[in-house]
Amino acid sequence: MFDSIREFIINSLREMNYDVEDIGDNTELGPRGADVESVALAELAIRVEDEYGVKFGEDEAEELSSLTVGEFCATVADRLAVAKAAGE
Amino acid sequence: MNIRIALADDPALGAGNVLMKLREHGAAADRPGITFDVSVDGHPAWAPLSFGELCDRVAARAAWLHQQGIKPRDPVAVYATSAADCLLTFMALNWVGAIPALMNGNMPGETAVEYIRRLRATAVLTDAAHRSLLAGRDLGGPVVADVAEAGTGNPAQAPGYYRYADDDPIAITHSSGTTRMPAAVVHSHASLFAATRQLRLAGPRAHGTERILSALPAAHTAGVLTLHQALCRGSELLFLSAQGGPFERSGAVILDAIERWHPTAVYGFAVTWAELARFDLAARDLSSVSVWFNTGDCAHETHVRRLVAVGSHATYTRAGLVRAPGSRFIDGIGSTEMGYSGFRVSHHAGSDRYGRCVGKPHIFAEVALLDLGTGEEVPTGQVGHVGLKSPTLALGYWNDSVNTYRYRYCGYYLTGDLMYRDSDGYYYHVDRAADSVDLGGGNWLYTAMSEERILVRCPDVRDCTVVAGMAEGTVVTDVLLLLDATADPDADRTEAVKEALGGPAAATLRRIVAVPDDDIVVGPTGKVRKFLMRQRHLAGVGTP
Repeated sequence: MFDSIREFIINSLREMNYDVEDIGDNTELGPRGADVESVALAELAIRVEDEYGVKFGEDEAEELSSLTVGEFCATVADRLAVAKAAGE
Repeated sequence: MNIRIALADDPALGAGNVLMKLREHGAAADRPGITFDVSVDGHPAWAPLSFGELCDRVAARAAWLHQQGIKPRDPVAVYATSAADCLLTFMALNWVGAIPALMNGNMPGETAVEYIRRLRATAVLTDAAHRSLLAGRDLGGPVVADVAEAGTGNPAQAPGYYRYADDDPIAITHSSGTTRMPAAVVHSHASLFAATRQLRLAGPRAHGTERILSALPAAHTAGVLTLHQALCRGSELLFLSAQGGPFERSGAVILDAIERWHPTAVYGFAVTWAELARFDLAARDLSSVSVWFNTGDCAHETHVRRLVAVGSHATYTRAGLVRAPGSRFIDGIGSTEMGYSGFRVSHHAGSDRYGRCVGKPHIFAEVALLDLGTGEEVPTGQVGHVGLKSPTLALGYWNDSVNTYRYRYCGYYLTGDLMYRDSDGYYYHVDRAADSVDLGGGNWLYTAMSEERILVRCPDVRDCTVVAGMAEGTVVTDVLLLLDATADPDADRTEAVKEALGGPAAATLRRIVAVPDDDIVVGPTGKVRKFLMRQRHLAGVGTP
């Protein structure tokens, strides 16, 4: 699951015209790494929501920015697991 | 490494040395500096000062201050109308290690005399209009000088930049002064920069803050924060003097400035949005604006909805990044003592989280809603006193330890606000604790929340003030309405107002009155002085 989420995130960033060549699990989404702008972080959150049904509030951009790609994938996977457990 | 990260990672950078650190990290001289709506040192109004020119103008003042014998830790008051006089002098005083005490030019002369005396200021720098207010008065012995003369210094003779430690005092700003003598609040090198470092340098690059028009008061915490954020991000910044001038005319000034300068973001206090509500915004060219940024008090839904309906914003579509109609309104709540907004919420045309929602705490802020009787946090949905832990908190009140410690509680700073939190973690501001009224039986009248509800229910009311308190042994409530120009002043709004107040509070309603603008007493930043309004309306003196 983690790998497919990462692939989805990297593909999304590529579609938003970010250079993803050097982006890995340890790359921060914020200015220390991929330098994803706030509007693009919001777009990324919407895409993840559309794909996985995991909701990120629009006020979470500050938190998302400080995460690495790996941490973001883990957060999505965690929320997905919680949502599944709640649905069972 | 980009300059933002170099700045974010420099532990010696703080509010006292932004200019010096930008230069040290290689900021180019042609980078944006600042633009004023007034001329300064022969530089014309509206013509941008580049970063290099800005450094030069500040260095000239630092040289002059040094020559006048101003030394590190000297408190120096600045009492002037022009944003240029205020902000350039502020940075120059930081350069020489003195402590700038910025005063709002709207502060009445009588109050200013007492305020300066309590500062125990070494010097007072004023423009001619304010100097006449202080003439012949006992200020406690400071040197009084012309603030414009400071610009005549020779930049080449500026002394070395003062070296700051984190807890060094770098600014004294004052509260809005709605209940008492404005409180002199002292900020440190670290505290007044903590939010800028975490949000604007280490945080994601924000769309829409490339060109900022500030209608904030330059002499207040929010003005200084805006200056530092713009400089660190390389944003262009137009700083209007005195929030656009006398409040009842400021809406027109700000709209004209937007059409002339085409900002992507407009920063202001609540008074600015209330004043803009006088106008048909759809008839103006506001298409450049992506973001309206509010701090201080939280803004009213009816004012916000009008703003987010105009302007434009960047968004992703299948075609990539495009501009779409409609803007965002970033709200929060902050105060001089808090040192930055503690919360953040974003409104746009499709959003519906109002009812005085101030959003969630910023990443650096720890908030507890407290029951001051037990010291415990109140449950979700219940109103409590806001306790804040934050690196942005001011050091305390200048020359006033009594009040510095009065508002500390169990490790928190008590902001004086009442809020509740919903089950999703969003916070809602109901009132200032000092303005709320205990109706007995567990019922309270929250004046700010009541105003919000009245505005939503009465679309032809532009702004309103609810004044409640004890009169002749019983709680009475007066509702003062500022009407739209087209509204019927004789319309009966009793049912709508009673519904807004709710049962127990509605029973205290004494009168609803449409009042002229000048019947509402405001402080220097446009905030309603409810303390005085209560005295005027409830003690039986004066009639609306």
